Amino acid sequence: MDETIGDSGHTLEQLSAYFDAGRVPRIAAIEEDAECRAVLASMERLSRLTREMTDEDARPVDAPWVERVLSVVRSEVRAGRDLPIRAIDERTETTVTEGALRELVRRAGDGVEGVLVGRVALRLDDGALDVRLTLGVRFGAPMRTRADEVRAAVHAALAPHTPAPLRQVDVVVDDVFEIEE
Amino acid sequence: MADSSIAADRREPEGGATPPQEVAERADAAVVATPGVVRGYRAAPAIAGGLAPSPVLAHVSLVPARSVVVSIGVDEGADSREVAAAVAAAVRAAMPADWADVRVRVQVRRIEAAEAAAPELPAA
Repeated sequence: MDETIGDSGHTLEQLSAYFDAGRVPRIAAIEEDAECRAVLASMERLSRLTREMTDEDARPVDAPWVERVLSVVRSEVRAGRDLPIRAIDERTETTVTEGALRELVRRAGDGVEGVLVGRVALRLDDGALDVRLTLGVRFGAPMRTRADEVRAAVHAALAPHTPAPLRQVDVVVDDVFEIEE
Repeated sequence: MADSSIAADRREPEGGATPPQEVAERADAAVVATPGVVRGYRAAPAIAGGLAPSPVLAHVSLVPARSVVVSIGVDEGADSREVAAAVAAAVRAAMPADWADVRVRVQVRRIEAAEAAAPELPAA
């Protein structure tokens, strides 16, 4: 049986069908689940990118590539560890989930034209946060420029939300995507 | 953490103590009233593959120590650290006197993009 997303009881395939239907009729179990909402947001960005590519080249986007991207997204929207933000007193603490920060990084990176974030890794070490992300760059786009833009976008997005000072953002371009022949 | 919010929340209060269900409701109300919070998420863990039947989002435990956990989505334009601290203070302030010693944890579960909906609680 396919694994369900969050506490929604729905699989990635079902979530994809729900997205394709325009998220109507509204399914509360999906719309009120943090993991589902993160996956839907990624689907929206991926859909926008593939639409642009298809409009320009009038050819379909490689379906297995889209599935691979969604599979990575699905694995990274999980809450993961709770990273401590602040112990206000001995009985009160605040935390942020790894999933929340990974999604923020992904959203910031995907916002740069012609790129798509792959994997996002966070490392909290010696009181500072390091981010390493992989990136797919659309064929023909300037890689170094795009990587710099992604790094700057991630810095700006994370700054007000990190549980510790952001020390380093490493960007690895590990994929070049294009329209299938 | 033991999940007592489901088993305990409809028990009769002992000696006039405020029941966990009411504590959770107070916490939920405090969460959505805090600026910067886009929505609350269910903090209670799933049970046997299904969601807890309670309509509340906050997770109230009695053992090993009394605790309240709330899970929130924060506006990406806000400062998560400040919002979480404000929620913690609001939840603490919303606790009845007989729950003054409760442990409070605020979990930032999502940092929400601008298109996210207004604060809302799940339909009863």
